[in-house]
Amino acid sequence: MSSMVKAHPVSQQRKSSLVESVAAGMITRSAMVLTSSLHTREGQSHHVSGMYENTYQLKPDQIPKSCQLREIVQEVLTEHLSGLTYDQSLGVMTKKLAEQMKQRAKELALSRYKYVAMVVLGPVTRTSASLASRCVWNPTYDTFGEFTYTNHSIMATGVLYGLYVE
Amino acid sequence: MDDFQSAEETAFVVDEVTNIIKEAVEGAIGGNGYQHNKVNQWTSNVVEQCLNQLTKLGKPFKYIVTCVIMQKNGAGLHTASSCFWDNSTDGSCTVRWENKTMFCIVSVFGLAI
Repeated sequence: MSSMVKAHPVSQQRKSSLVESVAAGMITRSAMVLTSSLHTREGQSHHVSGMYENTYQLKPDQIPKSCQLREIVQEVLTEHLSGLTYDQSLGVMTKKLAEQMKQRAKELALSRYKYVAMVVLGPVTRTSASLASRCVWNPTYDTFGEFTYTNHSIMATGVLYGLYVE
Repeated sequence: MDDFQSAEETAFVVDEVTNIIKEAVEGAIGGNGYQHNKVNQWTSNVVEQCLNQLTKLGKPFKYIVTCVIMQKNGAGLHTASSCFWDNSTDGSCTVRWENKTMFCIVSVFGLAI
């Protein structure tokens, strides 16, 4: 009979970051930094947010399957993007897609899992792009799913990571 | 007393991570022009460098590093991310770097164990 005793409720907010690339011929080399809104959190900056009882649990009850996560990404992308043509307003759609992916992942209702959803969306042109990702994690409990959706004018890649909180 | 690390050691420090990313990108693709046959290797290099430096920080974090390199051709690109995590301990950092021929967008997510 173990129960979790929380001193302060842990807030889990949606975090979205939107980056737009604009071709600017005059800039030779520059860097722009976007950060999460970590600096605006109110209250104490103490790491220990509450006292937890021991669960004596070494493994997660259920590990998300990589195919499950991939299915979520596939469904969200095809549902929202099929039939659309690329234009500037799709920036908002990108945010919505990431949010949707995260919502669906939460619906899997797996305990002690954190999710990170990322979407990269661009037009189908002669431009080439390369996306790489690497993680430092526990490969037995953490996983990810990815899917690329293309139609005649839009190319979108979505990745959904699921990480266990030990 | 219970052992807990001080807040500086276990928080996601954005400035530190930003510097690491900038150095990794400069080191891997600094003075180069876009080359299609090398871009895969470059993205891998950037990501590996970032990850190596991040793990050297020795903090109790799991990291996800993504890198997008795109040729400058007039096309636009949108990226968005959404995370379900613990606001007080986890954080992310995105750096956009460019030169005359290409863009490079690197995102680092750090999730506390």
